[in-house]
Amino acid sequence: MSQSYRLENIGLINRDKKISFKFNGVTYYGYEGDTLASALIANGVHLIGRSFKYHRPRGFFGAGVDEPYAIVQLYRNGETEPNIKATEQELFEGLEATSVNCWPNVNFDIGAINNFFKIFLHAGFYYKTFMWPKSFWYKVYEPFIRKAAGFGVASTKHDNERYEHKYEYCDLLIAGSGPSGLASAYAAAKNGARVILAEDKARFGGSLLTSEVSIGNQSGKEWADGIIAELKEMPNVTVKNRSQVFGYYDHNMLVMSERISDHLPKTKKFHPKQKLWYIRAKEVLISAGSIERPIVFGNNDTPGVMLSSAAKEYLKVYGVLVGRNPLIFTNNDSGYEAAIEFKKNGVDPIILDTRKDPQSEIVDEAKNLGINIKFSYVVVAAQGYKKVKSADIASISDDKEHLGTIENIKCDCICVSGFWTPTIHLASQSGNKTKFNEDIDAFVPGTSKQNETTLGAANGSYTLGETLKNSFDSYSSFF
Amino acid sequence: MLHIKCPHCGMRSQNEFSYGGDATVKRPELNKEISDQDWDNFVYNRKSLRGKHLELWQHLSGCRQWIKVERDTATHEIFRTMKANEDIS
Repeated sequence: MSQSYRLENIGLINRDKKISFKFNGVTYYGYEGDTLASALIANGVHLIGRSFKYHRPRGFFGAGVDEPYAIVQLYRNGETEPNIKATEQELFEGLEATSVNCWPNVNFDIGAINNFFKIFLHAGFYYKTFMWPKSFWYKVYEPFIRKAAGFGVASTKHDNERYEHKYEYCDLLIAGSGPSGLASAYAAAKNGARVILAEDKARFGGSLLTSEVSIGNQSGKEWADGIIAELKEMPNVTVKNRSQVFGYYDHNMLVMSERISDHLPKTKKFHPKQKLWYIRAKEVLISAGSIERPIVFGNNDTPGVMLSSAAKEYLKVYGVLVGRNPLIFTNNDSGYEAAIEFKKNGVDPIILDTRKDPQSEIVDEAKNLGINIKFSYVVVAAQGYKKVKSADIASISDDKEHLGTIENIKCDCICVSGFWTPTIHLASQSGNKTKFNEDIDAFVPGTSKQNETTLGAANGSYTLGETLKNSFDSYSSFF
Repeated sequence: MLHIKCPHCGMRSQNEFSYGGDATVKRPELNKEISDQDWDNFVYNRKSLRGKHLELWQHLSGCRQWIKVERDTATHEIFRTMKANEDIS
């Protein structure tokens, strides 16, 4: 199989190192720096699993930790691990993965028959209805229902990997290495504070990797690389990638899991597979960014429907096209960023914007590039079963209550953008009383209970300049 | 996990400590006739307070001393800590 959706001259992957891997028994190729998801999309694979109950086809929806669908069973070094997100698993030589919750295979799944009986198997269906005749329960119904339950299969073998624990203390723990995380880390570290900078993904930079921005005379990525290189030199700073801060406990105790060997074919000798950090921080900065919201329409679980930010990330970071005929459905400006990226790489997208007459620079830029934009239009439903084939679209009235006539247009992916939701989970865990921000229609952190601060997109601030300035100012006098 | 200031060792994590119960309970005086009710109260009955609470902790994995900790049982805020033989007020 060739990587027919891979672009030539874009992306941060290492094209000198080709990697072979297996998905559902078929051998594919990707590059070093890919995730399992990006490598599969590069090979044109979008059907990755089946939904839990009705066994509807499932594709990729996000590009990172926010992925809800792409769950696979992973085989590594003679061991198996269930419930791995394909969007988080980095590619390594000899990786094997299979789809879950489908039989005999993901393409032809007997369980999909449930989809036709969904009128009888509605939500909240009471499985004890299968009561009669009495002897059938133990022999037929229960084994069958138990077999249908759950996704992956847990390993029955003893886990030979090593897992470490570590206690650590610091003046400032920063969760997330986006613009605000980097700026704050730099400002605080220059003052001599002990700083731990944690990034969930393999690459530092967060939104700087995918946005067309320049800081000074550098691109966002160059700036991020420069800061990271400088931080790594400082003795008072610990910089960790593949490390997710996932728990905020009493008295500023945070827990972070570092995936040390999950991206390697085999754990190195005397190395652990993962490390759990217990960090007692004097202060915590949550710069976890935000996650794009989907928009609801018919069949929006069809493979090929995904977040526009994810489409942009696959394009900018991995050099992968999620489709050659994309439809972008947005209600805000950020959908246009994905459209412009598509256009720049020789793909003609169609933008459907729910707004009537938006005025902004990026909309003008899209118009100037000659992108087909339909204002006051919505997607009514996606058509296609195992992959989006077309979309039913219609114009929408100004009061958003009446639809015009429904047309059908061809497309092979629908990128949705319903604005952004700040990642406030850590702030909520710390006991922060969140408040609702009408401007962005989302909850943002409010009154802190412990020593934590939230900055950047996680605080509902979506402009880079403001974020950088706030972050530098907040921590330039720290310590 | 709580961060408790041991009066002998300084700030330490909760997992070095062992909880020792209510610090305000007084043993009935010796050489006196004590009712069963009083003994019962001393040995078994405790108030489950919501709010400020004075309690005993032992710095088990540290100096092994018993200390008194004034803590809010709802918010886990620690107001002060003192040596076990120091007075409450």
